[in-house]
Amino acid sequence: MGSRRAHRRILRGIGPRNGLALGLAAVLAASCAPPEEGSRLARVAESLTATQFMQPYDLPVVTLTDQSGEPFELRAEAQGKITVLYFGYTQCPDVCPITMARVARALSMLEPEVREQVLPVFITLDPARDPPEQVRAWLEGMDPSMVGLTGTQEEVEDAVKQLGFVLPPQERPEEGWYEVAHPATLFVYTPELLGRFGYPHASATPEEIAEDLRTLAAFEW
Amino acid sequence: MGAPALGAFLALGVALAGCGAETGEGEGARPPVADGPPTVRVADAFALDPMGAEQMAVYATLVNGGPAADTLLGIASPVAGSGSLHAMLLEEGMMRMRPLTAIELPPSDTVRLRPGGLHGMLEELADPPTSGDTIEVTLRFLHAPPVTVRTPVRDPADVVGGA
Repeated sequence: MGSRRAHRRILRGIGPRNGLALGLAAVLAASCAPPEEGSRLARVAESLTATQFMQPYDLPVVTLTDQSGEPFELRAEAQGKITVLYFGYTQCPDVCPITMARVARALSMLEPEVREQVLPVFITLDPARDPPEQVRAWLEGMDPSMVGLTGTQEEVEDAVKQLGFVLPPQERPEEGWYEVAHPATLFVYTPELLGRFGYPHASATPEEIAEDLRTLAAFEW
Repeated sequence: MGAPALGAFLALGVALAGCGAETGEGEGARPPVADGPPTVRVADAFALDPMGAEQMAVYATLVNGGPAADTLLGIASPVAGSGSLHAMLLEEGMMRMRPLTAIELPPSDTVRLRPGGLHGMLEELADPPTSGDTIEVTLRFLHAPPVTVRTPVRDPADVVGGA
């Protein structure tokens, strides 16, 4: 086998006594190696543009309202999928449309067998201005197949609080525009419903997101 | 601190920084050189398709080529009822937009309004533009005369660079 030949090539410059020592070291190293599962995940994590979180996030236990006004139980719908999750609001002029538009562009680059494994989800943290029809209209301009979720203020806040985010006090004046705080991260959940990966400032390109989704879709979870 | 108070505080800070340089008061301030009227060049302006919302972001590169500091005071457009300036901040993992009443433009320097950073926002869009449109945006400065630029409206997916 090729590996045996390579093995001999390495040992030739080392000498028999050192070769024996190296051989023993290799056997010891092999027995202390990380389990195959851990190194398989580490290898795929390394190949991603997305960051791997030290502690994966659990996918929130929540039933919200989708852009058709229908109930949407997040964890149930995410079964077997790679969930791409972003929190924002439709009156956000900068990062929210850019992030969701990039996700939409990434989805458009995917082969059908990969696309069908992805569940793209946008959750508004501003239900006051984002009822289902507003969420639908906003996403329609990008990719109507993306899921947009709204609900009561308590319901959407519960979802983001389950990820450990503390929302600041929110001013909602009667007149005029107001900003809404939201996590900066674009989260990526595996079919284990674990948010192992993400883009911390949602700054990845559509191409990078698409390539990551292909990699994750090909992985045996 | 509420958002308006913080905005006022930030504006005061940038305004004070500007004042010292332009009037020549205070230690170490350079007197303005009689080199011609102050000008700010506006390059690479573009706006984001508002995706049907009532606000849209405006970005540009502002080049203050002169020896004196200037200040961007605001933006306006015929398509918008009003305009405002904002900074994007990351606080405790959350994105925040902070209103600014001014953006300092140091002398002989470039300030970029860019996605995820400082930007202008056109508000009260009666008939929201869409990507492919071109709108007129006027930038107002403390010293330099206003600059009006024809600003292309772009698809957010095509924007390079982020927060």
